[in-house]
Amino acid sequence: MSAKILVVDDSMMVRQQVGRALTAAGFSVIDAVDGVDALQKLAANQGTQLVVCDVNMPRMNGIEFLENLRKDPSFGRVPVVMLTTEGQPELIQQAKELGAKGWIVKPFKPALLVAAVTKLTAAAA
Amino acid sequence: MEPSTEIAELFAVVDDTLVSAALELFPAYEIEVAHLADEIEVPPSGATHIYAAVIGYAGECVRGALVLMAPMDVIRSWRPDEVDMTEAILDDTIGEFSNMLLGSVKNRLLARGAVLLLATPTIASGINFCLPAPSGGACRWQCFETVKGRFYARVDASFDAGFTFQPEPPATDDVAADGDMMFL
Repeated sequence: MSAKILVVDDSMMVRQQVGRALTAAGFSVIDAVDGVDALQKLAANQGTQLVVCDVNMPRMNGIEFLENLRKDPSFGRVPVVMLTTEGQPELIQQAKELGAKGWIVKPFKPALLVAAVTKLTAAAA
Repeated sequence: MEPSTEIAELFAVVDDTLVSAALELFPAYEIEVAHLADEIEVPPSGATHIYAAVIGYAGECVRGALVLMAPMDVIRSWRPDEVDMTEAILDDTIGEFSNMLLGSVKNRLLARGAVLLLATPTIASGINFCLPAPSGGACRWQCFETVKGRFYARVDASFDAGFTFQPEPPATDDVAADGDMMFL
């Protein structure tokens, strides 16, 4: 069975672009428009193996999403890769301390994202 | 009124950064783009229906906004896929490109010591857009040519007294660049 990936971004274009790249690589993709939606989608989709998450989003941003994710033991240690326009070292460090496994600065190269997701899902399996 | 020499020099750093960021961003989406450096035309007026994304930014002693403006056919060509361009998709596309463009400017200026916080994009569409220059600051339209037509970008910047950019540093790994991937 293909690994299920949750893509979280307030931009429809980015969700579609990431979804297309991951689907073509054999992953199963679900999406969410912000951190609140992502927590709900994770709860409804047990067994999600990785999250690709934007940082700047309305309602709940990517860093707040990480904080909430780590507080909830039901989500276990689902790996998260941040995909964002942000490149600030302090923000990257904050995400790392909250357990993020990767950081990609937009615009992203689809092959690079697929390689990262493949590596992290294999490691988590 | 012309900005002072000091403001003009500070603004040139921001403006040059905008141009270099745009010339890297669009090719990353396989959009060929040329900067029309001598083009002083402002965005088209009259009957052309255009879309504009505006994002404000602020840092210590500096603030302003990015405006990205393009007609529908040009925005459609920015999409990497074939979709029916509804108003929502047009808004989303120009909003995301403006977000990535200003994000790239922000990351580049971070290396010059300016820490900027960005708002989220606001989208407008219509004809006869008129955007006055910010009072006490500087701005300039930049024009870019693609196979589907021209688009326009403008960064507004106002600086408080005493604001400076640090000298351009040598290449470093301290700030993540566009397209970078890091395992944490």
